[in-house]
Parts: sequence; structure tokens; C-alpha cells
Amino acid sequence: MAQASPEPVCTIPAADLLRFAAGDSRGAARRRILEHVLAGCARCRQSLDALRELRTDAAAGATPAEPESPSIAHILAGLGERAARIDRERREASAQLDDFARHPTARQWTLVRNSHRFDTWSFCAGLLDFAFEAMYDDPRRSRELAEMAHEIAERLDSGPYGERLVVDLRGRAWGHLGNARRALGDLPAAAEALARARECLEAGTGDPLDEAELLYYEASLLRGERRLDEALRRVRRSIRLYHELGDGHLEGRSRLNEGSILGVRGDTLAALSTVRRALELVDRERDPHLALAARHNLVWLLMESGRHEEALAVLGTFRDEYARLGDLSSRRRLEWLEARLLELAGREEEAAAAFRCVLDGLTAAELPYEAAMASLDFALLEIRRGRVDEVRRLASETLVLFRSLGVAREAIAAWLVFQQAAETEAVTVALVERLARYYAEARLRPGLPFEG
Amino acid sequence: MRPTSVGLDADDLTSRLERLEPEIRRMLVRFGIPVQDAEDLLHDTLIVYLTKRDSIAAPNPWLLATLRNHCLVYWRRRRRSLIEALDAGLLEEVAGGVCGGQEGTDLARDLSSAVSHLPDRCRSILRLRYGLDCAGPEIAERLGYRPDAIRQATLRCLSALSRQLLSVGYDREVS
Repeated sequence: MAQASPEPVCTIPAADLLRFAAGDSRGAARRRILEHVLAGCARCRQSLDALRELRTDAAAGATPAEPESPSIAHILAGLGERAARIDRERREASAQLDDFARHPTARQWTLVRNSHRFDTWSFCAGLLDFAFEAMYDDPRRSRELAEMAHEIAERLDSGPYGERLVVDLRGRAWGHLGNARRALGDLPAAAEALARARECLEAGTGDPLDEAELLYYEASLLRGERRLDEALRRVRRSIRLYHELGDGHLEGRSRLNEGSILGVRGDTLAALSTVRRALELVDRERDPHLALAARHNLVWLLMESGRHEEALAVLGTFRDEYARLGDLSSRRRLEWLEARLLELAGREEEAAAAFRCVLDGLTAAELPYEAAMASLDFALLEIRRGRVDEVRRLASETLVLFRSLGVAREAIAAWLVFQQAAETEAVTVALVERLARYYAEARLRPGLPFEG
Repeated sequence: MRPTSVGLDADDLTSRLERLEPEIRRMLVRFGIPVQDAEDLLHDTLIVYLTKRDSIAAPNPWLLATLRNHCLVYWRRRRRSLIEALDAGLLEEVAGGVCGGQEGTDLARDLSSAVSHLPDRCRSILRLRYGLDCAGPEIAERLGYRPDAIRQATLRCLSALSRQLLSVGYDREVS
């Protein structure tokens, strides 16, 4: 590598440099500075550049002929061509997305990787919308779509859009990816993605909706990490932003998240009131899955606070929605909720059948932590009914599931504690509750040891 | 997830901006954005709006909030470039006392004045860094900062200095 030539020693006093920049230098002093700058003093040159820029701006601001405020008509006139191009791109992307959705996943990856015809802002934004919609029923699919969008966003040419708009899009792709990773329990990878999203946001256009969305995702991650005070601060900032922006639906979504955080913190009454407020705001037409999740959470919180009769009554008002929306995860959530409610209502046979149904569904969906938690709920019922054989069977079945899915050895070790207790008929309510708390945590933090 | 359709043709945008015009003007005046730059900021805001309009449920508050953010970013970037200019050369001379307070140059006077208005601790940092050419760890040790915090502290001081400069009219539209 070539050696850089040494910087000339700077002997120019600041005052002389300032006089020079202001055009007040004369004769020999002026020549001396010129020669010095031309000799390559980077420091003086940078200072002069900065001063010139500021002076030019000041002069422009002082010109009497300048209008006092911007001409909106003039700005609009300059937007026409750009607006038409954006509209054209949006229409094309809409058709491309319809076509893209028909292909199997492997083919979609091939298209994303090999065909640059999808490299547009609108197509990428559309993929992110798909990714969000997939979150309710299939977080793995959601992650995959976010990865595709991310791949396009990273290579998108900023020329037609401007660098900062493209950076916004990259930030959104990282945000969705982080949220999907969180939902799948990979919290460290989620944190990394959300940190990248934050970097992009700071270099982007300053769109407050992007900021609010990222705060929402960060709050969800912090909730998963059980950093609940930080989670509350983030989600409340998100709520304020959405409120200021007049987007009641998304404000409701953030309030629902706040309700979940309060619920995890054990503040059930505050969580109930927050979820009720969220329900008033969420727009069922805009996101029916979110509206269902809000009502589901309300019923769950009513049940947790001991108001199971009211919970059953409220559930009856929207039970059909689960079938109408047709996604498996919603139905599994309903079955679990109903099993718990039936048990609380003293309808033990029906509750046992419902728990069996929940377990079958969770096993088929390969959701071991959820299956463990449902098994424990079921075990509590069977212990009360004195059915020790059933408790033993539950313990064995779940262990098989854990082993077949390669669950973290800490989670298996915890389950062995339960199995051993089941074998010796030593299962207690206290042990089951501790294990239930453990699996709720371990689902989000694989490798977490069971403290016993 | 998308909000219900936000009608947007040229007339829609025009009438929307006409309604918002008084608030837009007030905001640009409040932030002291020069006219030419104000047009650029508004133009950029509208481009973002056109590109993202499918996800914007309530355009008017969004437009105002985004324009406000653009104004904030505008000043943050201007301040940063002033800080860089200060950091590159001028401050060294002034804080080091080589030629601070020179007559006949508004900027030099403003710099001296701005430095003198800074809190003692800030002046100490700047004098050590630019006047005595101390490195970060040495400044941290002499002033009792954590070594990893001194860079941020120095940036804060430079930022305070640039605000002082701007507020005394070094560059009137940068106030």
C-alpha cells in the first residue's frame, strides 16, 4: 500500500481562516492561506467547506426576494411524475404478489433469489404484510416471508426511491424478522434483528409509524425476556405514538400487548381494564385475528381472576369466530381455554375430554412446550380426581414428545422430575404450578434450567 | 393489517395540504427552517407519504408528525456538521487560547463567547482535549469520568457549544 504523504503543519490562526472564509482577507494574508489550503491541509479545507455552507445558507435566507414560506403548489407540481411512478409500481406489485402467493415455498425462494423483477419497494412491502398476517397461524411461515422480504430489501437499488426510504424498508424487514424469531422462541436472534431494525430506523425517513411498530416489537421481546418494566415503557411509548397519529386500531394492538405484559406481571385487574380498552379500539374489519385475540385474552383474564362464569358468558358471544377465521392456532387456543373453563365450572368429564383434544392438537402441531403446559393443566385435574394412572400416562406421553422433537435437555430434565413424581404418586399441586411457570419461561428461553 | 383504503389522487392530496397549510407553515416557522430547505423537507415528507400511504390510517396527523420529525432531523444533521467543523479545527485554536477573541471576526468572537457560556465541566473537557491535546483516557482520569463515557461527554460538550453558537446568531437561520 502506498504511504500517505504527511499532512502539512497547520500554522493558520483561526481568526485568519475565518476572515478568509468571510472574504475579508487581503493581499499577502490571503495568498498565504490559499497556498496553505492548496498544499493540502485537510483540516483547514474542512473548516472552510463547513463555513462556506453555513454562509451560503445564511445569504440565501437573507435574500429579500425569497418568499417567506414554501410554495405548496410548487411542491405538488414537482410530485406528479413521481406519484404516477409509485402508483404504477404499486399496481404491478399487487399483481406480482397474487402470482407469487400461488407458488410453493421452494419456488418462491428461487424466484426471490434469481429474479430481480421483484426488486421493488412495493413488492417487498407487500411481502412484509403477508409475513405479518402469517404470524397468527404460522410463525415459521411468517419468518420465512420476512426473510424473503429482507433479502429483497437488502439488495434494493435506492436510486428510484432515495436511500432513506429503502433504509426504512430494511428496518421494517428486520423488525418483522425479529418478531417472528421471538414468536418461535429464538430470543437472542430476535434481539439481534430488532437492534438492526433500530439502526435502520435511525438512518431512515423518521416515519413515526415505523417507530411505533418497532417499539411494539421491542416490547413483545422484552415481555418474552421478562424485562417487564422496560417492556411497559416501550409499549406505552408505542401507544402514545399511535394515538398521536390517529391510528386507533394500532393503538388498540399496542394496548393489547400492554395487557399481556401486565398479565405476565400478575396484575390481572389492570390487565383486564387495559384489554377492555384495547377491544374498543381494535378494528375487526381491518384485522379480525387481532380482534379475536383481544376477546380471547379478555376471557382468559376473566378466568384467571376467578370470574369463570362471566368468562364463559363472554366466550359464548364470539365462540363462532374461531371457526369462521379457520386457523388452527386460534382453535387450539379456544380448546385449551374451554378445557380450563369446564374444569372450573365443575364439568370434569367434559374438561378431561377437552384437555385430551388440546393435547392431541398440540402434539400434532409439534409444540412441545405448549403441550407440556396443557399436560400439567390436565394433570392437575386428574390429581384432583384421584386418577394417578392418567397422570402417569400423561407424563410418559409428553416425555416421548419431548424426545422426538429434540427439546432442550433442561426441559427434559424438568419433565423427568414430574415423571418420577408421577411414578411414585408424589405429584403435588405446588410441583405442577412450579413446572407450569417453568415451561412458560422455557418456551421463550430454551436452555433455562429448572430450579425445582 | 392495512388500514382501509386511503383515497389518494392528486386532488385529494392537494385539498389535504390546503387544509393543513396553516399548520405546516406554523411548524416550519417554529423550527426556523429556511424556505428553500422547507420546500425540500415538505417534498421529502410527501414522497414518503405517497410511497407508504397504504399503511397510513390517518394521513393528516401522520403528515404533521413526519414533517416535525424531518425538521428535527434537519437540525440534528446541521448541528452535527457544525460540530464536525468545530472538532476539525476552529475550536482547537479558540479553546487553546492561540487566537481566541480576535477582533474583526464575528465567528471568532462568537466562538469565544460561546465557550465562555458553557458550564465549567464542559469547558474543562474542551480545553483538555483541544487546548492541551489530551487523549480520551487522560481526560477521563483527570476529570473523574469513566473511560468509556468520555467520548459521549465530549460530544455533548461540542453539541452544547454548537447550540450556543447558533443561539447567539452565528448563523441566524440555524437558531
